[in-house]
Amino acid sequence: MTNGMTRWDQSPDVLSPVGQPIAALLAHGPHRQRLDGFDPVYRDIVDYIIRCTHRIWEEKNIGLCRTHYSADCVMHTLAGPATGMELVTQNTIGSLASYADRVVIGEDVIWSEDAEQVFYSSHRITSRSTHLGDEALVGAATMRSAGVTTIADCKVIANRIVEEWLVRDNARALWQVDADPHAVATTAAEDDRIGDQARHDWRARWIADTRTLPDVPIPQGHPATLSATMLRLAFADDLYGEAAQTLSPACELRWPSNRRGFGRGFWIGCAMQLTTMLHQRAFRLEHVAARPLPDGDVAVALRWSLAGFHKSVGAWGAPSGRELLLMAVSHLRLRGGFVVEDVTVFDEVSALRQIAGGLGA
Amino acid sequence: MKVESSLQAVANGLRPHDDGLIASCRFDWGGGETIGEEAILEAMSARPLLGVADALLIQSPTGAALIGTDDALFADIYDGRIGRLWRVGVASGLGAEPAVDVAFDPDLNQSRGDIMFNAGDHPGLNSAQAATVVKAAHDLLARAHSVPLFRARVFVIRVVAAGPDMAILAAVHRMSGGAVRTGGFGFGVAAICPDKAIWMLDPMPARPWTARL
Repeated sequence: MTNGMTRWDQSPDVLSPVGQPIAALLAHGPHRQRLDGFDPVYRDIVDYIIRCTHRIWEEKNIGLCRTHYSADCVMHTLAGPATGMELVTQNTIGSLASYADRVVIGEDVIWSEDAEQVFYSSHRITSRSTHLGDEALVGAATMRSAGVTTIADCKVIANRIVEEWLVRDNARALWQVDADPHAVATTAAEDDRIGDQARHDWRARWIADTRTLPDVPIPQGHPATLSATMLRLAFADDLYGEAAQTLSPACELRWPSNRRGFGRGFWIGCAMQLTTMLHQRAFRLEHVAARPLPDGDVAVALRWSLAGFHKSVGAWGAPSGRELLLMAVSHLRLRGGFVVEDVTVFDEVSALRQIAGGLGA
Repeated sequence: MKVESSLQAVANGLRPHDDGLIASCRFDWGGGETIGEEAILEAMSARPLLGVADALLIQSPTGAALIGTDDALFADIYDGRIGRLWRVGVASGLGAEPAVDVAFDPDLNQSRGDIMFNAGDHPGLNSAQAATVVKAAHDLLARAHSVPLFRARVFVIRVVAAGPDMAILAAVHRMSGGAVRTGGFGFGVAAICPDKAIWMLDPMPARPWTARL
């Protein structure tokens, strides 16, 4: 490959965490990959992601955020960008104060080396915790069991995350602690309408990018090619049946807010829940990565955005007419050329917040 | 031996030895799901599998099924460890969470599908074994139709083939008859051996339908 970009199936010693016990994942040992400028404890980029998450969240060495994020790192969520490692540190302290027993279970790390020593990882995490402490969004601790899926896409250079895109199944998270996603979204939208509205300009810029920029190029022969085409066929061209031919007839689907089902028709149903609501839609593929899995399977990660005008009734209620932005990450498991598993994560509370008039014009 | 003892331990709500249950193991039971050793063992210890001592075990390097008296455990196996787990045959003890239900067409065709099975999803199956899977899936479908239904579909998601024995895990979508229909996904297991065959099916899903957040 050119520009130091690593082929998706190079570095076979750098294994996916899929099927590995935590003791093996956290075992110390020799390096398996060149990592310039990284803490020597890390053996490869997967180990960096799994181990630093463990050190920060489970061992509670939260100050390590200061050596693992850059001073000007930007964390993109649909609540708006958060900038700087001090903010990351404080937000992590806040989360752990409320959910102190959180275990951060790494389900997969799908990575790429997009230029020499410029790594990109798509880390799928499902946490387990107890709502032990009060928090701003939902109020008093409920002692309820909680656990939802998050996908953190990180650009990593020399031991530091320099940019991150985070999607979390926030509606399910709120349900689990007996909170109402609509109420939380409405409160957040009311706050959004107070003060300098220029702070929300990022949303308009992101929508403009989704509408005007081309899809990220995919290297020839990359396993994400068919999956990317599947998303575009559905979300841009409305050719759902053709798109679903990429899936196994018995494909397993896990989408946000406990949408769980099987088969091509169910995938189409998930996609159409979005497209029925969003008119004059634009879709953009923002990043792809792929890595080998055990037993010959292939893991593909696709980060994508969707913009459209909320003009029809649907899963998010009555149409608001607002132009909405959605950021999603799909983790697909390929076998024999077909998708056999699709885990897609996006934040539906952010959609409700936009519908309620939040996050700027 | 290790897989068997790990499955038996989990079936009784006990922690297997030697990381026999991988920390990232996901557990499906009826309409509920959870992840991680503590949550899985909490659920299993509250309602252990019945008949573990005499349970039928069908095991391959990548999968295993432990068939008890009333219900079964089905597992993905990675290097002798349980990496994914389903409990099939009895109502879920995991508790139902709210969900956004999805309107969908299982067939994409006027011709009914009934069985959704792609042999290529199950590497190593020969054509005779694939034919056995299809027959077992049809038998599972027939059992789903043992009560009046408008529709049932079987999605074959795992196959464990061990010599002449075979175990199949399927997602089963059922929709009741009548003017107002109810239904949803559950799971079914078929165990096919030379001397016996066993079918188990989750109870009919009965949760309310809510296609909105």
